[in-house]
Amino acid sequence: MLEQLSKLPKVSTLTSVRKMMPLGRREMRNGLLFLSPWLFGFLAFTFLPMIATLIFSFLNLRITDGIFGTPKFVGFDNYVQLFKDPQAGISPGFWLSSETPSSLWITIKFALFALPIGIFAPLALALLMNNPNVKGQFYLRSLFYMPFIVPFVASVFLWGGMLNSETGWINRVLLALGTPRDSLPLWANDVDWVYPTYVIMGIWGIGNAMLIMLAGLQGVPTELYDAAKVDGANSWATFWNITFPMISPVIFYNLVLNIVGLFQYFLVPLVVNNGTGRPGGATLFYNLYLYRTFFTFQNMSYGSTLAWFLFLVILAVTIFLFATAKYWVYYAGEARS
Amino acid sequence: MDITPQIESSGFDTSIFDPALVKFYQTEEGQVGLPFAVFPGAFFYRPDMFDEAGLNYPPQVYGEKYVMPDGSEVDWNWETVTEVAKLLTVDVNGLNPTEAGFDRTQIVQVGYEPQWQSILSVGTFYGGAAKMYSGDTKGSYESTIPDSWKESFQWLYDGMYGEQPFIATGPLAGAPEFGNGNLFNAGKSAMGLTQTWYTCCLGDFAKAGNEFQLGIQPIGVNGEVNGRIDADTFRILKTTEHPDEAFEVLAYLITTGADKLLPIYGAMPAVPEKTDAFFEAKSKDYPFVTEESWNVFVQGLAYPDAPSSEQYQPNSVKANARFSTFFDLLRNTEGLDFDAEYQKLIDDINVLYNE
Repeated sequence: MLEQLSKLPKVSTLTSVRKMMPLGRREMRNGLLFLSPWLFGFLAFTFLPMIATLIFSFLNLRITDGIFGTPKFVGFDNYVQLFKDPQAGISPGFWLSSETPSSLWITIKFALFALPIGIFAPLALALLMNNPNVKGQFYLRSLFYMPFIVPFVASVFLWGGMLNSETGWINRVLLALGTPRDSLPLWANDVDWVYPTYVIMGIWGIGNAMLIMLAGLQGVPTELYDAAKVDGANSWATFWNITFPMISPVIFYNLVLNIVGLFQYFLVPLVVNNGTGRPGGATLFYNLYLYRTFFTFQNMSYGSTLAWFLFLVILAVTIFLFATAKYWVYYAGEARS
Repeated sequence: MDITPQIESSGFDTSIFDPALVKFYQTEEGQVGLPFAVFPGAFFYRPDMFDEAGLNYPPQVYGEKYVMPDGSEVDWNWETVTEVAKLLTVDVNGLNPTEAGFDRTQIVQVGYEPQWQSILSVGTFYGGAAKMYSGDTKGSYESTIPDSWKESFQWLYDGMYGEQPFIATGPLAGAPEFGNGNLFNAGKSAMGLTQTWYTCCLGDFAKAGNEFQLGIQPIGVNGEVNGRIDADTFRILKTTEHPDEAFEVLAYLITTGADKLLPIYGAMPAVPEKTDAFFEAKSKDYPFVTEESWNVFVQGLAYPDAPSSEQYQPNSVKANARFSTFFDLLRNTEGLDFDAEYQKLIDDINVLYNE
């Protein structure tokens, strides 16, 4: 990772700016001017709230205590509480021993289930769309991408209707196909079915990941495939030795985004299961617990603590992924040691 | 703050309000407000569905009996509501739950919906208003939910998952065909017990050519009409340095000022004599609603829930969230061990009260 960072263009320092030619300075000023809306947005809506929540996490700020009270500094009390909180489930000891599943464990369990599908489903679709034998690719690509354009909440509502255990057409079709009424899945209302339900809803929106993967596939030099053909490589050998390494940066990119997204998983359980954790507490994801603590229970300090822990977890996982990238991600044109 | 001294010293005439309504604004603190914007409850019902089922309409005057199909006169209580609601619930084959062959998995119309009511509201309507906790300091708080509320929760659950269902289960109520929870507006429920504010949200219903009328709130298991009123008012902070002047403003806002403010609020005036303009405006949206129906709301002013089902509870945000979770569980879980879940609710509430 450090190696990659060292290759980035150097940031201008005050001294280097002074040494700039007038034209360079003007370009820099214009560049900053054009960047300023984003910079302002980042400062106002990301950086400052982050600093604020960090400060909150060391206070006892609760809106329910009244808006006129002065919050007190409590040191690391919120972080101590976090490690003792069975619902947050930071300590693995809570994962299996607790009566109701802990939020972190729920998130990890779901991630283990959804992540492979979130990576391989768009990859498989991209491979299909990249296959010259598949007819009507232009239309199919558009069709697969289209659901991604639908606002996520709208698509969740749509799927909620389709997978409704009483009136949804999927159960109606299953019934028509001869599935006994008692065996029909209850989808989001069944502990065993709720994660597959969420994954099905998620698959509908993989069009964007498919498109990125497809772009990666189309960037693979064809002479590599020609060489493999000459060498007598079969399909699997070609995929494993050429396609996969060549598109590994794209897979890596999707992997990072997927993992970050899964740790922040929130909207679907909030909309489909009202954010209550139903059924059986199986859908009280970490980010949902954070949301409830912060906004429903208005405990700003503990909510901030939960948020900062999540941030640190995501940061650690991302650093770990970048650290392992050198072992499996291949950047074409890059000299490998 | 308690405004009783200001009421007395200013000579404010509280007799312009129903005495029960004035009492509704009393807490342990004292008289903390006076009636302003009120939203009494009533039974919304669809006459066409009653006609189709050959049933008489709910009574529109408190004290009147309901006439069953066999001609017998009975109290308009929850038992009667249950019987009527069953007859108004219809499956895809046109059968109701009391008939052989009724298909509970293909219900196309339910008899009753607690339209946008909380679980605590359900308890109040059925079992009567009650203070929900005892104790006065953290560590001493304890849930005092009456058994009648537990009975109401069980009734609600049986109405969905019992032998003869007449209330939509969570999945059914949440289905797009059933209005994503707004069942009465979607034309999928024959009756819905809710408050005046629900007249806000029946646009689709009226546009579809449907009509509704209003019946009285039923008699609860305690033998009394357990009404529910949602209410807004103005209060004065205890810390004020000018309580008398503040009361003067409050008195203006709830009387003369109310004439201008209430139409903006979209709320029913607490003074019965001033309700005509409110219902005239409502009649423009719903010209089919009769005067007798609107009058049910006016009568409802005499049946507030004191203490309110939205009363203060210790650690109220978390306690209310726990009740909501319980409601959600009831609506969405078949084969629930009701007693165990109820006990768990009370145990959790006792912990939350003292947290």
